Amino acid sequence: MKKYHTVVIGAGIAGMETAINLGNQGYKVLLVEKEASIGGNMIALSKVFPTLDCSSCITTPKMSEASHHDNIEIMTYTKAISVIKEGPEFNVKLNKKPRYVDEKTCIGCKKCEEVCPVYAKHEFERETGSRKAICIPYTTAIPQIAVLDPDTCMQCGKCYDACPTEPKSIVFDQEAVELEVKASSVVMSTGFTLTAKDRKKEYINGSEKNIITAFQMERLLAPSGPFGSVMRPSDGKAPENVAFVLCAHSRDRSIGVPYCSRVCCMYSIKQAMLLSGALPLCDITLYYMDIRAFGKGYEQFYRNAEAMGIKFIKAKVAKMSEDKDGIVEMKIEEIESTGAPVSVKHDLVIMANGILPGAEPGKMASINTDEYGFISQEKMKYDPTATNIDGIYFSGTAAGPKDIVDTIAEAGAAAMKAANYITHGAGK
Amino acid sequence: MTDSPITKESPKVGVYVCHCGGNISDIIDVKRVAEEMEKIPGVALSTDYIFMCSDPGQQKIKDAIKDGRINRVVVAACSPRLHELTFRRALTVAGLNPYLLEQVNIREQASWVHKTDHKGATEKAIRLTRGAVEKVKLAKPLDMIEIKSLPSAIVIGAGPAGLRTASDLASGGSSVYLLEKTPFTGGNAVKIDKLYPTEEDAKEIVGKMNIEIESNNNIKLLTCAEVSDATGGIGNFKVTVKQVSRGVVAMMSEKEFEDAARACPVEVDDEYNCSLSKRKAIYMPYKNAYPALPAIDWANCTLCGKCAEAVKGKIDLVKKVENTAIESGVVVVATGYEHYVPAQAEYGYGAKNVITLPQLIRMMDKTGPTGGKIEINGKKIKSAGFIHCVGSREIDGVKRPGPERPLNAHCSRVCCTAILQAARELQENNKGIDIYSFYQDIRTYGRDAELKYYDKVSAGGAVFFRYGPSELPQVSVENGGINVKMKDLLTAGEKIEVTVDLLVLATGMVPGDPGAIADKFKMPKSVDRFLQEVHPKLRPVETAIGGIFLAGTCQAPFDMTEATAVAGAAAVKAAAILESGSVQLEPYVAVVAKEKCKCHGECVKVCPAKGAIYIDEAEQKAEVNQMLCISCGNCVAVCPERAIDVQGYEISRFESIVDEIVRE
Ligand SMILES: Cc1cc2nc3c(=O)[nH]c(=O)nc-3n(C[C@H](O)[C@H](O)[C@H](O)COP(=O)(O)OP(=O)(O)OC[C@H]3O[C@@H](n4cnc5c(N)ncnc54)[C@H](O)[C@@H]3O)c2cc1C
Repeated sequence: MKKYHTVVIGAGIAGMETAINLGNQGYKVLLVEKEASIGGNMIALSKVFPTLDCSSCITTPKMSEASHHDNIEIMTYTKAISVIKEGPEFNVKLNKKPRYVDEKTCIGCKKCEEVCPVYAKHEFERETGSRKAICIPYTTAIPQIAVLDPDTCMQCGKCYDACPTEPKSIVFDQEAVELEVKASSVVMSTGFTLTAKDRKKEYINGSEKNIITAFQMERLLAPSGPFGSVMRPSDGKAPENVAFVLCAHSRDRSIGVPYCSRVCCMYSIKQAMLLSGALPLCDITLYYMDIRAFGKGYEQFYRNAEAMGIKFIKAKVAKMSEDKDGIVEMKIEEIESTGAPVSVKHDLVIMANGILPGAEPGKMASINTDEYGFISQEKMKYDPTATNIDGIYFSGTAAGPKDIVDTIAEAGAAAMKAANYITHGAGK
Repeated sequence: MTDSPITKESPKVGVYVCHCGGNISDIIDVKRVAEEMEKIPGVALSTDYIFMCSDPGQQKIKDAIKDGRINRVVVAACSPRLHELTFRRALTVAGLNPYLLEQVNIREQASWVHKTDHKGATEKAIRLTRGAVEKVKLAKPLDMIEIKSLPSAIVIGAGPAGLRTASDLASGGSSVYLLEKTPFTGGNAVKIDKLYPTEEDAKEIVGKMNIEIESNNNIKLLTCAEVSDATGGIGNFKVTVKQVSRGVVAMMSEKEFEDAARACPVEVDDEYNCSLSKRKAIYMPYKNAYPALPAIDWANCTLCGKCAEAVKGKIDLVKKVENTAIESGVVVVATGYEHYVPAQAEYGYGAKNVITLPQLIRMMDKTGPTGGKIEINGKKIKSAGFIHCVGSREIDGVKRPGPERPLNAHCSRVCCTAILQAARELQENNKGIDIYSFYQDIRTYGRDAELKYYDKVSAGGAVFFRYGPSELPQVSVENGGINVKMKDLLTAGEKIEVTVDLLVLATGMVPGDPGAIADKFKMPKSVDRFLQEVHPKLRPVETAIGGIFLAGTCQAPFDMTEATAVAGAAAVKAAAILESGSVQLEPYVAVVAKEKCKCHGECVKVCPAKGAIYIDEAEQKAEVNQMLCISCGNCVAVCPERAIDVQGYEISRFESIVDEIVRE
């Protein structure tokens, strides 16, 4: 059985940063990622607050560093299934999903992608764009190896014919592989996912086109996004009067997400600023409960947005509906006027969805989680990345919503803890 | 590597123009830039790509180098601060000296600043890239300067962050000097008797960390110790520590300490209780403070000798100041924050029963100055008001802090949750109490904070009034009652007036003393006056000075969970240097052409880094200490003989850039 100093589960910014910190100290790390590329959610963001750096610009070097690091081995399309402690060490079970492409021979030439006749909704573009049934996950993906989606593939065989490698890299009968590895320590960085678009029925019934999620907006704003501009999904026109609904799926007991998702205020402000830069004539309004701009430089960022002419209205949005022309009518309770319900109209609405755990870390290992499934912080105040099991640490949003800055701090702390556990707990 | 045959060949430059996913190519005609470069003699290849920093982008460079098509590289992309290292690594992997790279910034310097002028931006990008091509042609292979790093760390400040970093580094095997300017560890945290959201006593949590420190032989804790001078740099810091004697020279029993304190005639405000009580000039902030040895407060002690008489042989009232030189490979700054202290009469501050949040927190501690009671004239209070954002989120023009202090535009992050935690406790202990919150935004973002505090306090009947940033609440104190008047935005701007028994000002965090430390190490500060990191996401705990890291609230407001996480991150970065035992420095150092040097000595006069350039008396020539040189170029400018150049930034290369930029 192969042995590592640390298995890091999840290759978002938290996992990559943890792995790099450990690798830089000379520890051998296995970085496991269930998706076809490393990078997590961050690589799909447009620009990031509060510096407005383009997100690809700061994520790709980390991806690249992790993948070229002498001490880091990466397994993509591989899901960690279970982590079991044996003595001071851990057995980690992994499931390598079939990619239907041979990772060793594929050269990433995209010939298969070019000839594939099937268009499917693109997960990376958060369904705002399309991809082929066989494709490289996205431009900056690592590794640059194609992946075939069996659910949409119609098995026409065109990709096989187009594949220039010898032997052919497309392997239709590839099967999942179960493997097991040993590790002296484990770091959980399984990240987050967003609430489903229709989590709150008062907002979404199903047919609405011009009510989109925050992540869809990230893709529309990303310079590398599907259209390279922000447009209304219903008719492709540039929106003129846009609303951001903050806390759309957070701080709301009725949908089971009573906590604050912590990043939505800031990313909505960021999106509003980017939109205002892209479409200077567009009216932009943020409907919010409280503006939570608490990190370093965040308050100043918020004030800048106000100065740009973005409107901030403290209001609760009770209901949304879309008419046949794609205009969204919102019933709101404007808290700072009479409080009586009023109706407002916008031609594009972005919902700040809530943040949920991206996996079930509590089911993978016998570590404690809170009632929502986020990893519990057992020594929260002085050893913040510890779990209830010595040797298992966490970093990032696996333990609750947080932004990239806070995630990266935890990644450092978790790497330090894992390193010291390897030295003292399990032997180097 | 320096002698690699590749670089002896005539230059074959590869130019790569990056789209930056649209950040550049939406404005600049990248294809044209690439085509223009192709025309320049010596350019062997010129192309464009969507993301040069991505793996496939880097692969293009590597392949061309390996095939022998190019031996010099220009990447026209973002700022080299972002990706120079990325591309250098690509060159190294492909077997080319990394200093044969030139990254030219056509994003920040062209596409981003000329958004509306596509043609002009393209023209500018062409000129800038042309300059880089000429510059790289003159490039020589360089090697990084490797220096040995001492295997030890200096951690400055022994609050939770400093304790965390010290303990993490020491258990990894490094030796650590932990400096604390007061006589005790724990910083501001130990004043909090219930930490949100776990409600644990910070004294106990810090107690656990004290045990980690004490039980680790790799840590040397120096209390009453301040940095008085610092020289050297990464790998070899030389720090002079000024340590004042503690006055108490032997362990004392609890009774002995009581006797000594009773004998002391001096009474001063007790800073541990935020001046709500008095203490003696021999003191210990709380029972289990660490080290468990009381200390003499020299600033207030009158040297009367009464304490020494009361406990014989344990107190030495001759104040001794010792300057010790210590050395280390890295320095971690964990000097923390200070509570903002309102100006006299700011929101009624100074009047009776107008207190700050840290004072309230001390009062709620059962071992605190009021034994946990919040009373007025022996009666439980019936109402309390909280003004949020006192000394935080200030707006220029609305709030004039006065000449003695700058504006605090930042949010202090912890106050909202801390206020609501205190309010909840008041509601629980004083049944029927009226709680009023005067706020701007409720920022209970943290784990459990929303449900445990905000929701509970709201459900407990607290009344919230919202003020706008431009119209602050007005406080007046009239015959015993404290009056708060303001325009409440929640009721469409209605004027409200509330009278409360107790008014709590939620004073935020301001940078604590970093002035002194920052100046000693020449560290930059952010606009908010907290210490500045290199980049909040790429290098969040590193400072502009190599080998100096930031831990905790000296960087920005954090709660204890966040501060200790950042402290762990600082530790891991420091550990990477200490474990490898060496550091690589950029080769951009001054070099003296000995044959030209006439020993005028002008260079030595203008050098800001002590000892980096000096006169070799025997040879009568200027000499450079590469380890200390900070590549500022001052010496280059003043040398009458033009005998000095900064390696990699030779004047001749700059001339070639300028020529190309202005060429028609
Ligand atoms: C719309 C939006 C905009 C945002 N904008 C900003 C911004 O501008 N600035 C900012 O600082 N923050 C922003 N954020 C927050 C930021 O996205 C997060 O802080 C960051 O992505 C968290 O990183 P992570 O590594 O913890 O999680 P993730 O990015 O979710 O990474 C976790 C990874 O783990 C993998 N994984 C999960 N389970 C397993 C398993 N069992 N086996 C193997 N792999 C597994 C996942 O596939 C994923 O790749 C934004 C968030 C949203 C929703």
